[in-house]
Amino acid sequence: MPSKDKVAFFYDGDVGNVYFGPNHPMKPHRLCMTYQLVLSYELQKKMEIYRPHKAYPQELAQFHSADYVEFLHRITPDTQHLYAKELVRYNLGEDCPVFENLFEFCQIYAGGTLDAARKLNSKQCDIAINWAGGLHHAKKCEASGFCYINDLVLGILELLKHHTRVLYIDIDVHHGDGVEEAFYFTDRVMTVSFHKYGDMFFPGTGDVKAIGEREGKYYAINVPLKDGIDDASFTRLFKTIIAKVLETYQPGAIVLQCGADSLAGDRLGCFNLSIDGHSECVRFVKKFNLPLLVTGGGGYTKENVARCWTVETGVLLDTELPNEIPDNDYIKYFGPDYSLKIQNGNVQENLNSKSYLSSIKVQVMESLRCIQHAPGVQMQEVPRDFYIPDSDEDEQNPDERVDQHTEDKQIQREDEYYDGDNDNDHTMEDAL
Amino acid sequence: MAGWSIWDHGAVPVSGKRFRGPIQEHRENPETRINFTGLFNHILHSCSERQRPPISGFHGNESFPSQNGYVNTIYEIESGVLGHLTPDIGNPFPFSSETKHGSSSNAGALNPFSSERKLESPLDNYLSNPCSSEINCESLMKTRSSGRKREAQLSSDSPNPFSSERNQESTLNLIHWLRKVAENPCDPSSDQKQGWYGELLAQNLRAREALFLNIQNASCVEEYPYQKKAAKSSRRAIPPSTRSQRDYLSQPSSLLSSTKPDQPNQSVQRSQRLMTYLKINSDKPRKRVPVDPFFQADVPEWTEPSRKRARSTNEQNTLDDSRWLGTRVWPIEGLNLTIDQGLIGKGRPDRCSCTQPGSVQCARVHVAESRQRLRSELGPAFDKWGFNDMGEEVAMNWTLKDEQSFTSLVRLNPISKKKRFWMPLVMRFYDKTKESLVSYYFNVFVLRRMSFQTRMAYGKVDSDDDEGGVRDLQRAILSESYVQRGVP
Repeated sequence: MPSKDKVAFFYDGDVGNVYFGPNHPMKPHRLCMTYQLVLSYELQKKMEIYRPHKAYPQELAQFHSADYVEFLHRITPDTQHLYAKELVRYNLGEDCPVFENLFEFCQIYAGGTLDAARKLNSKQCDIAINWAGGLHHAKKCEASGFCYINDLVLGILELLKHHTRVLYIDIDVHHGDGVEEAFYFTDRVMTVSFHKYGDMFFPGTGDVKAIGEREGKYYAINVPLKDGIDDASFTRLFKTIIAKVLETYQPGAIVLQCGADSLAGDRLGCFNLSIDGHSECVRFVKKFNLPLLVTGGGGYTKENVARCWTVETGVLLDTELPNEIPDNDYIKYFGPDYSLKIQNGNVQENLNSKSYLSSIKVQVMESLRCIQHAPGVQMQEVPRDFYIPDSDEDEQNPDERVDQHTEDKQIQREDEYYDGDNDNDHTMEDAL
Repeated sequence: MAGWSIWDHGAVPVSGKRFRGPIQEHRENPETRINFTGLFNHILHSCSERQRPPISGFHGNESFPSQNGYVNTIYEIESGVLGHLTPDIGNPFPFSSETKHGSSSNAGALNPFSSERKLESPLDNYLSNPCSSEINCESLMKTRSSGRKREAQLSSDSPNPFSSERNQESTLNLIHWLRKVAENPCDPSSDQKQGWYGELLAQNLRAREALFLNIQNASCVEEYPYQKKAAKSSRRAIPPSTRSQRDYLSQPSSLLSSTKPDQPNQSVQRSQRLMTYLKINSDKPRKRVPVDPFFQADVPEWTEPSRKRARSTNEQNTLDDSRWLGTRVWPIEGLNLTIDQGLIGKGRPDRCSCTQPGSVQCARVHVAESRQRLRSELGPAFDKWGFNDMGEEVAMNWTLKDEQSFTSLVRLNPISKKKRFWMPLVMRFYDKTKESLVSYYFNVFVLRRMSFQTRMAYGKVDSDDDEGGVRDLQRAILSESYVQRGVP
């Protein structure tokens, strides 16, 4: 069935010439390469493309502390030597260097996620994409792991203005600690992260036993994995857990961080996923037909990042892309094969045994069982198949008798038959 | 703190039900290895993770004892530390199988007020009469440690909580706190005294290090990311600002060596210099999730967005909000495009009509064709998206001489010889902006290098490998420049 999803794509050309410094693995140039590839496949014809506004400091301060934002705004590579103490305080200088146009870079990628969230809220699109965003390590008062501003937290806060519950899914190879921490004590956001854990792997958090606290207890899910996980194991685990999460939590919107460092061959990653496996997760989430905000994230082998996010743009547009990359200005980057397949180097041994994955799954499911269905709603026993797939009423034959069970499954939306509060002789008070 | 003793806590081991802790097991069977380190680590790990140990058993993982087991294990630690057991220095585990208490059913644990126990040590004297005597920690130490090796370790490690009488009270605080936290790691009362908590945790970590851990043990223990390692502490002495200028290749590879030996592929995939990024910063041992308004986002209570307001001021809202929704760049207003569905998502054709398919010239022609087609289709969007600054076209803004200088500077400052080419480039091209240097690097230099290396069949070609020291490479890069300019 062809999708009727409207897709909005956010991009600003200024983001590509940002340079973290020599030898730094984070290269925003990968965004230019992604963009070239997307356009070489002519995908722009199926979506709308927007240039985001540059986020204002006040917008960034909706989550981050004002002094941290101010410092980011003012610091430059030439003056940083005068602020050694502040650099340490805000964790700048090593993993998170101070470079030219740092603040503008932050404004662009945060602005993209903010605009994407607002566009979803205003229902002008069903899916919004900002590959420049997804920098999930940034904390309220400090930078971390190449991330300065946490655009995901800002986007989620924006979505929370129109949705009771928001689900955050993170398939970056690193734990989504910044987002989890920001929402650790609330049940309005559920954070689910699949990541490598152990062996002193950054950031060191994300154990399966970290499930949130206080009101947010059981609303943080961590799936710690070992090196070398392959497509089959990962997608099976992903689908099982996400399906259960969606059934239990019933969010109003989903934010999906698609860090590409979980691909095989990544400079800093250690998984063995192919682009097919990675994009299968995106495809699965899209099927739930909820407002979806898709961002980038990690990814330190530029060509694979560009390949992956291009394929996933195609997935979100229901377009399957052929392997042969069309000619474009950056085609040479994709040699020697010039195809969308990852050039396979050394294959990692998969250290995730079946029993290990099974035990993780069991623990996650245990945790999910503790959540009352749809928090904020009166707790009651709900049938297992409560989460129903979309059914098109118009396609059903009204003359055909359906059994009670099927009929019961069909639940009308509250405003199904009325355009607004004032229609059909109902006064406003009655409607509310 | 006067007037209480460490045994006042009230958490007495369940009498009649004897828990066979790791020390007890080792005592009965000296051949077995005690995962004492692991237990101690886990207790402290749980403290820092703010998690409650499981009440009964664990989900299939034998290394985590029950909560009762924790309590009893803490007693054993206390006992061992305070001299109830004689340490065996030769043994890597500090507590031997020797027991002073015969085969009493309470042997090895754990209630010092049990009438079956013969009180002997200085601690026992103190406990029997807290007001009259003080614990002679020095004599405690002497009964504990008869080996020079252990003494040297204890005295040299700083600060040893058992080293002087002055610290005896802090020792008791230490152990009391440890037991309290082990029993209830999520106790909110311990959060309120954050400074005190942090200090006691640090003391416990040092005690653990002094008593139990050595580097070999530390490297074998899995999944405890907050462990300190001696190698790391030496690197931490370097201030961050100078560290960033150090040569990363000369970093000690202790972290690489800590990976398991059955993962030979790890180092192949990740180059050594990249291992210096994204390190866990263990010089500030961070709580698992900090509890503070400085860390969490302000999530407001849910309120239904008012529909009434939306209806009446819908249009005005649209105008106000539109600037926050991004500026639409595509599709362009007024530009009528016939969308050829067949062309969307089409790949590169298998064949072309060039005389030498796959050659540099062939690639150049096809790329130029695609670029032209894109320019005509996108119209003004082509420039807005910065496509005019992408690809080898960028080189047209550079003179041949500048290109030669650029390539030479990169070649003469290879990373392998601990040099950096960025600063020489900035200094040489003072009249160009840094953006244009970056742009040339990614759009021209790396592309041509990739083109050369893939044709030379170098195997796996890495565009992020910043080496540029190949003479042939330089010649090849420049020859492409000549071709682009039509220079014969």
